[in-house]
Amino acid sequence: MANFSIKRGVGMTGKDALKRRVGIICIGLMWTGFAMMYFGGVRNGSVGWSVAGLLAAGMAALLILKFW
Amino acid sequence: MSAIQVMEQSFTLSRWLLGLSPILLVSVLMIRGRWAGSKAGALAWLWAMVVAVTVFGGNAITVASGSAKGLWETVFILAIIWGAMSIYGLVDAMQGFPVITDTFNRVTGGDRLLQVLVIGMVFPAWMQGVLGFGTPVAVTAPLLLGLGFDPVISVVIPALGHSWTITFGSLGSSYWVLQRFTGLAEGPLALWSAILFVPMTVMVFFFGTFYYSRRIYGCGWREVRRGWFAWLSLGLVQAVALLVFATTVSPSIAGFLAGFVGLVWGALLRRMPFYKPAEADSGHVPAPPPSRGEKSALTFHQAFLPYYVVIAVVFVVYLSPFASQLLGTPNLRAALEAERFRLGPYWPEIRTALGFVNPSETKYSPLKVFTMPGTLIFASLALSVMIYRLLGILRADVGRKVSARLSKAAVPASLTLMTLSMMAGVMMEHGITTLLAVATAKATGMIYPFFANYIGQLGAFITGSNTASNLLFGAFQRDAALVLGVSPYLIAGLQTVGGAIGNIHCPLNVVLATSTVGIPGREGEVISQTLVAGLIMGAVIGLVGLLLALFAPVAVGG
Repeated sequence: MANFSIKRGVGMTGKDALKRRVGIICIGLMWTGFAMMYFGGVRNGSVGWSVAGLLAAGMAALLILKFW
Repeated sequence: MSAIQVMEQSFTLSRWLLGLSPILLVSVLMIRGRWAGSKAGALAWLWAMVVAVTVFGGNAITVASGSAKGLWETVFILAIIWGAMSIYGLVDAMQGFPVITDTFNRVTGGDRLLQVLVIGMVFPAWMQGVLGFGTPVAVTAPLLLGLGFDPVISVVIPALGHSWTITFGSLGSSYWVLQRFTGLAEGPLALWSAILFVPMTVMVFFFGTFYYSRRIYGCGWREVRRGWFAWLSLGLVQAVALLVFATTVSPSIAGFLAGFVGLVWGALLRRMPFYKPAEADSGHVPAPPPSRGEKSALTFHQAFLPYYVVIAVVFVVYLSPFASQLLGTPNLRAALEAERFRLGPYWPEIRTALGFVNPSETKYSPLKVFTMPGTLIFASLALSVMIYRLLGILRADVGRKVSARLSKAAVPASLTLMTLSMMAGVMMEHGITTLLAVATAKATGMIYPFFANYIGQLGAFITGSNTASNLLFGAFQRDAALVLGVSPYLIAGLQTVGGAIGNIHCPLNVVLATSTVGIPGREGEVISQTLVAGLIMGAVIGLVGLLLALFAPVAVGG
């Protein structure tokens, strides 16, 4: 695996690596949001879970706007 | 009350303008602002939610539902992207591209225009005949890149090239959805759709040649003039073949057969008297990529092996129903697509305050886990690695190189798809797309046939799919035609041609291709070219439709 790691891929600059790390966090946040929105909000009709899910995915969107 | 009637009653000018704003926002940010798709998509999704809640009767649950639907749809597309990137990574890691390049250069006599037309346009169209969903573009773009073409043009060319077989490709899924949802007779619908594809197919080959020439020589007309016979004849021959096969054989395999005719015609082009071969100039022509260090020991067939395997796997699975009917062989596809292998979440009915209803679904947009394109591509990847290993030529560092490429390109592509898809999900969940279509029909009246294809384009632009566009707007287009006293066959044909054109410039498909050639974030550069082509093609098709509606209403069933 030479110089490749989860923190920095082959041929990546420091900025690229940061963007990638933020990107992975965003993907995680979005799917966490999906779970909250679908299982809590849509399936159970809970406004609270819907808002929580939207906040998680919304946070990901804000991170994308800030770092990408 | 139907969804269309609800949005018809809800129509106001401010709603129309605000409904259009997320699409305008994402287009302007990507094309003019050169924003990365992920960033533009994130902002457009946030804005779409604001519009949905404030103007379209949305609430926390409806926007959550739309966003979640959008995210669910990305699973299908991400599997294709990661698979196509892995296949490209495998060929690259095996040092196969210099070998492929040399061979293609030899076969085409080094004529880059023929490479653009045959490899870049006819090949993905033929592949689209069986397997769609953006896969042909994702597979062909890296191939062109490997041949030394600029990454942007490597995406633009197959995006244009595959479009004309979309409706009658993917075994006719777009066509059958249109036919089912409009309830129109199969024969005339296939006939009039295929007729409208004739000008579009010719224009597709024109624009492919034009963009290639402009990128390489700085003058679009140079290669258009020199290669007039090549692009014109390829366009016409395939369009006529599509028309004949769609009406006499089956709409399901018309795209595949027409694409095959194109491959044969393309192979013969160099020997045809009207074709003027490329001069042996020139400083402008991109050189094939230099091999990196060590020389590849592979033969062409070994280098091309993963693509052979993709084609073979796809054909074995997707054509097994036809083989089953003709030869009595087992219907592999039916077995693999049994109900228990379709995964999809239950979705309850969602209703907005305006009264727009999204009906409940037992399995929402189910994934056919064993036959979806992503699965087939990953299966092909595994098979290719096994064959390389059996042949004793698998390089030791292949796994590391492929995973490094994936980890570098997968994140931006995934983010773009997820944000754009959530935006689309929110818009559809609140009837925003339906309102835009209804408003167009109301505003244009008797010149509606001119605009009908743009509604198809809008549907594909948002959803990334001709099938989904037909599903969204097929019934609406038929109703609009009947209200206006125009032939529903003509309008339905315009809808599906528009849906096919929309695939050329829809961000979801473009992202799919840019990520496989390593230029994620440069989607705007691609869309700025394909959108212009789409709008011009739409205008020509619209004009043809309008003339047919005005002067030949009886001929088109009016």
